[in-house]
This record gives sequence, structure tokens and C-alpha cells, in this order.
Amino acid sequence: MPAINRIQIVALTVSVVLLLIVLELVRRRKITEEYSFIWILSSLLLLAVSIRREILHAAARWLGISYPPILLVMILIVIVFAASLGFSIIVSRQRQQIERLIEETSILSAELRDLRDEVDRRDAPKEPRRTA
Amino acid sequence: MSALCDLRGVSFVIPVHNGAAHIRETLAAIRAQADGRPLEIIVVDDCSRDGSSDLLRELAAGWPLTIVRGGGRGAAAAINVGVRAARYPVICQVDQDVVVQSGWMTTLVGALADVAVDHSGSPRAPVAAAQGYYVTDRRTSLCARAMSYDLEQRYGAIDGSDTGHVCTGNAAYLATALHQVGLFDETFGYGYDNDMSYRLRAAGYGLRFCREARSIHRWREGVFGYLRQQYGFGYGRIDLVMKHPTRIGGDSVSRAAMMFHPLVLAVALAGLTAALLLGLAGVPAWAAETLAFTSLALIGMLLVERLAAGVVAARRFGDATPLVFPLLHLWRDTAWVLAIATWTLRRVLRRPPHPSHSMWPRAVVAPGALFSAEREAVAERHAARLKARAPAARVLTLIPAHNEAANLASVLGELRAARPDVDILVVDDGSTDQTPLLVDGLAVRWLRFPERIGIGSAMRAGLRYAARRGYDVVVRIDGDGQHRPEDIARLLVPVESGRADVVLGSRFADHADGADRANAAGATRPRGVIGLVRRVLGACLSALTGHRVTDPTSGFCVLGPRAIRLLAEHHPTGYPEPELRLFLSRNALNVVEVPVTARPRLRGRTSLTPGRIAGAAARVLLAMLVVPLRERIRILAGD
Repeated sequence: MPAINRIQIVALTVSVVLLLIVLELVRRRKITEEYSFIWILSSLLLLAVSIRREILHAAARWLGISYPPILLVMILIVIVFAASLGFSIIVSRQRQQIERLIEETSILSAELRDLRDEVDRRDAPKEPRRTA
Repeated sequence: MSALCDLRGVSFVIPVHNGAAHIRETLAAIRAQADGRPLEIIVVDDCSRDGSSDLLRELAAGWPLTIVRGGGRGAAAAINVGVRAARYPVICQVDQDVVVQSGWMTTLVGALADVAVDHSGSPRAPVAAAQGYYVTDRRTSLCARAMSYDLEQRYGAIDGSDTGHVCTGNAAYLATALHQVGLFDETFGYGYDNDMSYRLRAAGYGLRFCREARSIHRWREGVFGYLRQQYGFGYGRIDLVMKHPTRIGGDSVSRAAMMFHPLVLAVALAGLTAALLLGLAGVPAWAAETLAFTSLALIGMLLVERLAAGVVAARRFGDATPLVFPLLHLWRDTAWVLAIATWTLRRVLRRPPHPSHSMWPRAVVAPGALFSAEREAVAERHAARLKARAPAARVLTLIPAHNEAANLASVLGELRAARPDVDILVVDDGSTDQTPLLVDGLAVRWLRFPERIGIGSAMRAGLRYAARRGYDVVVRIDGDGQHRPEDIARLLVPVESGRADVVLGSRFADHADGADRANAAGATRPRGVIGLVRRVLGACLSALTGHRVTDPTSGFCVLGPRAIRLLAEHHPTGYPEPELRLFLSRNALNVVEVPVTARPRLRGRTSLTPGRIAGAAARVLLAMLVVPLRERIRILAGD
């Protein structure tokens, strides 16, 4: 069974490398911890499936799938879906935060302008000045 | 019997909990009941947190009100507090959201004093309680109307004037009878009125139903409020049946069929669940399928029964609203099933009962609201300081603008000429033309966004700035010159008289009063696809909000203090005007439409493209689904 062993080795390598890349990205702070968990969990899942192929076979049999690798594809699709849904949530939250920041900075700069005008008026009462 | 014949004085008892929205109207209607006999109005303030307490104190300054503190133990306990404080032999118990109509009190007191003989000649039982009739207000939301029609339909089934049940909140009681049977049972969240009716009947009293004593119930708006209330009804009903087991078949207002519905639905849902589990467990497929089909058939039967009831009601009232009965009542029955399940579970686990109260806080802070009470306090102190430093003008005109350099100068010029008294704030939403330079030279207040983020954000920033500066009223007009500043005066009237929180300028509203007819000349209804879309949108929004929406995309509006506080945090974004209507209705703000005349924009092109219109339409559709289901936002009390 050399062919099966070879694919097993490749799968094992890919999942270990994925796990290492994610951990390295976290170490370098390219991904913050909270967003890394989904990737760590999915590479661990991939690792488990490539070490013990019986898991995949048993799960496929239980679901009535005759061709086990399809299950692998299904799992990947679910992971990608979950990840992009998570990103949509994050993007939406960040959009709201950005909106609020812009609103607040615009108000702050207007208030600063008002204060400056007031200070100017107080310092130079004789000089007529356009009021804001 | 002699006591019955001189029912001289009447005590009104009104329990209030977070009822600021309606209490003024309720109390005004009660005051108008005066028919010469001694009258007192006892308001039981049951730990309100929405400013009702302040409002009541303010009203009590001018009106003969007695305010009594409740203990926050629910509606039944609050009513008991009021009954104990009452001086007169007749207690008129009116809920905070019930507006009695003219002649209501006289009719009910007349029914209590009625000691006539029946047709066989023997004297009838003394009457201890008389109930009024809820009529449907056709201007409320779909849900509220359907609920009201349902109740009218059930009242319609009562034969004659004798009834087995007097609903609370719209009724008159004999004080002596209430004290004799030991007041309302405070363990009930809902259903204490049924309990009282049964006990009065058992004590030998008669109960009357008076169709002429009319009142309008301001039902909770929106599906969520409805379901929460129905859950409470369901829970109260089980408590009731446990206390009065012979009443499992209902009473003259809640008929047996209505009691039967949730039970059938519970059986059907249990059947469906069992079928699913059995199917997974691997029993023969036909067994699971039979079970599933039987359950679905039961649900189908319920729906058909309700549809029939809806058709009957729709024909009776000449309104299509009751046709939603199947859907609405499926939800209602589900809420009841949930209540039954919770009740049973607590019983099995030996936990104390947990009834849902009608007088619990009705509104909560939206989850994820970025605004804490602490920040609000800081902002308010700041506003107070600013106010103390320089008393600001009351009205601010807010002009959101994106690339409006061509029109802004003439818009501002016109505005200044028409309304020299109002301050002006331009919010520049990331313009890429000369707008920022222009604004700086025009001697107005202005905010500038470094990026374009949308009109909703521009409104939020402008309103927050206005609130911090101490403005009470904000007028929004567009920067393209399509709104005429002369109309502002008319739009301000409903807000300044306290009649509305928000006034919207409508280009297509009917000019009801002749004086405005001249203004209608310039307004032409749009034809073609745009006009059709606008009309369909208007019809949908009218149905969802319960108010006529003639111009769903108008940006011309006046916002009062409550609206400013709410929208400064939560103004919808995107293409916000239609969604704003839904949002205001969801949060129970009073909205009034006033006809205005719009012109085409002065110069430049509109930012609407077919693609943007499609995107906006999709957003509005989504908003129609989602906004009515969102939680209501608590409006923080002002200074």
C-alpha cells in the first residue's frame, strides 16, 4: 500500500505546516489570538484526520457517503464558510467602530474650533471677528 | 341593597409602570369623564424607570391626581394598593394604556347600580363588576389591530349583558365586593382579573358587560411585545386553571376553543419532535412518517380554523387585517406552549413559580449599545456647562451634504432669509469638491468627515453635537435645495406643541386643510416605475408601522428632544429614510406627516444611480423583516 502511505505523508505534512504557519503568525503578532483559534482548530482537525484515516471512514459510513474523501472536502467547505461568516461579523463591527470614530472626531474638531474662536475673541475683544 | 342605589363617588385606580408613552392621554380621557359626581384619580406608580414618575408629578401639579407608590410587585399588587387607598364606593380600574371614550364611566356606574328584576320576576344578583368594550383603533400597527379585532370578535360571542368574566383595565368594581372577596390575588402575573371574576361569581354577585362603555386599548406594538405578552397570558392561564380546575373550559371571553388551541399545538409539536427522534433512532420509516403527518395535519387544522375565524372577522369589520389570524395565532399558541413547558418544567424541578408580569420593564437597552450611563452623565454635564456658558438657540437646522458646493450657498442664503432665528449646522460627508472651503467661509457651524461614510452617520454626528450644545429641536433639510425653508415653520408646530416627537415633510400627503391647498400646486406625484416603487414602499411601511406613510423617501424632518436622544446613537445608516420610519415606529415615537412642496434640486446631479437604488431597495426589504423584531431601545432621560 505505498500509494496510500504517500498520500498520508503528504496530508500529515500539509496539516503540520499549516499549524506551524498559524502559530508563527501569532508569534509575530500578524494574527491576533482571537482570530487565530479557528485556524488552529481546523489544522488540528486536519491533522487528526490524516493520522487516523479510520475517523474519516467511520464518519463517512455513518453519514452514508460512499466516497470518504468527499467528506474531507465537505469539512473544508464548512470551515471556510464559518471563517468567512466570522470575518463578515468582524468587518461589520469594524465598520461601526470606524463610523463612530469619524463622527466623534468631527464633533471634537468642531468643538475645538469653537473653543479656539472663543479664546481668540476673549484675547482680542476689539478686533471684530467672524463668529462661527 | 341600599348601598347600591347611592353610588355617589367614583375612585379611578390606574397602575402605572413605564407608561410615559400613553399616560397623559389616558388621564386626560379620565378627566373628561366627570359627570358631576365626586371623583378621585389614584395613580399607583409602580417603580417606573422611564420618566413616568416625573411626568406624573408634573401632571399632578395641574390636575387633581393622588399619586401612591407601588411596591414593584406586579400589576395585581399595584391595583390592590390603589383600591385600599380609594375613598369612594365605586372603583373604576383603568390601565395605563387604555383611553376611555365619552360616557364610559356613567354607563358602567349605571350598570353597577342596576338592581332590576329579570324576566322571571325574581331580583337579579347585585352587580359587583361591569366591563367596558374595547373598540379597535384603525390607525395602529398591524399586530395591534389584529389583536384588537380578535378581542372584539370574542366580545361579539357574549350573549346579552351578563358575562362570566370582567377583564381588568377597562372595568368598574364595587369597592365593598372587592374587599369582601379579599382583593386581587397578587401571585398572578396575568389572569388575576379572571380569578377575581370567578370569586365574585362564587360569592353570588353578577357581572355585566356594557357594549356602550367604549375605550381604546393602546396594545403593544410589534411582534416581539405581542409574543412576550402572550407568554404572560399563557403562564397566567395555567396558574388560573390550577386554582380553579373547573374553569379549564375557559369563560365567556376566552372560549373553550381558545383554550384548546395551545393544547393541540403542544401535542402536534411533541408529535413532530418524537417523529424526528424516532426517525433518527431507526424505527420503521412508516411509523415516524405517520406520526409526523398526523402532527402536521393537526397544525393544518388549527390554521384552517383560524383562517375561517379571520375571514368571518374581516367581513364583519370590513378590514382585511384579521386575515393574519392564522399566522399571528400560530405564534400566540407557540408562546402559550412555551409558557406551559416552562411552567411544567419548574413544577417538575420543584422551582418556585415564575409568572411573567404585565408591569415588568417594557423596554431594555439594546444589546451592544455603545453608550453607557456613565458616558451619558458626562455628556449631560458637558451640555449643562455649555448651556450655562452661552444659552444656545433652541432650534438647529442640520444640513447633511456631500459634494453640494453648487447649491449650498443659495440654500443657506434662503434659509437665513426665511429663518434668521435658527442656527445652522452643515455636516460635510467627505466631499471631494469645494464644499469644505465653501462651508468654512459661510459663517455657519460645521462638521467635516474625512471620508464619505453616509448620511446616517452624518445625522448621528450632527444630532450628538446638537444634544451636547443643548439644542431642543433639530430640523433636517437637504443640501440640494429641494426643501423650501418657508415650510419649516409649519413642520415645527406639532413638535413644539408636544404632539409629536418627529414631523416628516411629505411631498405627496393629502392636503386635508384648505389653507394648505395652495401649496399642493407644485407637488406632482411621480409617475412610472419610480412612482410605483414609492407607492408600494409607502403601502408596506404603512402596514408595518400602522401610520399612513405617503412619502417614504422624504428627508425633510423635524426632530424633538426624545427623537434627538434616540437617533444621536441609533440613526439608521445606508439609505436611511424608509428604515427610519420603521425604527421610529418600533421605538414608539410619535410621528406626524405634514404636507410640503418640494422642488427639483437646484443644480448638479442626484447621487442616485440604478445600482444604488437596487441596493437601497434590498436594504429596505431586509429592514422590514428585521427592524420590527429588534428590541426596543430605552431612551435615556434628558436633563
